[in-house]
Amino acid sequence: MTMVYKRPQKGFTLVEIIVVIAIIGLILPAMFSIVFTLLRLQIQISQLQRLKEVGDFVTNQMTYTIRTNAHKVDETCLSEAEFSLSLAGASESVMFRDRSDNCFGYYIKDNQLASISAVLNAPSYSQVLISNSDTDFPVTVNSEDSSLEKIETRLAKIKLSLSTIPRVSYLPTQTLTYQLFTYLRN
Amino acid sequence: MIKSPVLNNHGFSLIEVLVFVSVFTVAIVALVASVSYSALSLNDARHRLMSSRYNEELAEWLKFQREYRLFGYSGLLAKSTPTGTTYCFNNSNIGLDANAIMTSGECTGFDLDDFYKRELTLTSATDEQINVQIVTSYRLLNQTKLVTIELSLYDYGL
Repeated sequence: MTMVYKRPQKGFTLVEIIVVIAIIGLILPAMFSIVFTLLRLQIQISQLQRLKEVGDFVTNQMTYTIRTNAHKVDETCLSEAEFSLSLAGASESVMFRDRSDNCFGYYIKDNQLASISAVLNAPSYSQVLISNSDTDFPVTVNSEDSSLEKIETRLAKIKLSLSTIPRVSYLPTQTLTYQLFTYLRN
Repeated sequence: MIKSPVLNNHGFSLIEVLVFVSVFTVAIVALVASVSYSALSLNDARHRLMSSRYNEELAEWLKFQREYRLFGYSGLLAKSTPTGTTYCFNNSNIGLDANAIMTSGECTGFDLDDFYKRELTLTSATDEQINVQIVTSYRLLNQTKLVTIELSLYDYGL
């Protein structure tokens, strides 16, 4: 009797393939979730860093301008006609008068921080310092947690609560608070 | 002569299995180590950033105090000693407290934002100069991390 030589089967069985796919199916999502968590943390820190850059720059600029130019904290500036349009609807504002009797100040409106100034009897000039519609890096000023306040004729208090506006929903909002006094030496 | 078919065993040898398991273990350990190191570094970077913000806040408050309460008399000079006096500033609202009372002594806990500790050391150098050291610290994996800034405050002679 002649025996038929059977070629050895060289493939994997169905069970082996299912087991391998199941293991890969467990490992891959775990690895992706780790990478995603790290990426998320990295983005949060870079957002916080940029928020601090914006906050540092704006508060430095404000304190420098106030200390070098302001003669007194003057709320009567608020009633001057040239400011009424810009300041209408502002949740917080603080105004200063310089030695030339011109007014300048800062206000929070629509969750944005802006500076305002005017030479006597001329139209006022307003500039947004922190914008929530900035195309590069939008930052919102939390109106309910921020204040611009006169304490004394030579003392003003500034509290700014700044938050990032995440471009994607899975990123949490980053918030930094700046609180400082400016005392006028002039 | 009848030839018996040779059974082809397709399993792995012990050496192959050992090599695979060791390579796999090394790879997994390296991956986990690098991931946990990255997470730790990122966390540390975040706390460093917050600590430097707290330091700057207190430095700004001290500059304000120099002008508001004047330098000498009951001001900062009176709060400093040649060997250095330490104050605890774990109050997160210090920036808005113009008349905060400074009581000497080191911080007892990490109470600032429930995570940080902020201490100030005032050292009088001359009658017109104070050396300031602000240290904000935090604990991460049983290690205490410090973020320090140093500055000198001079009397404006107001």
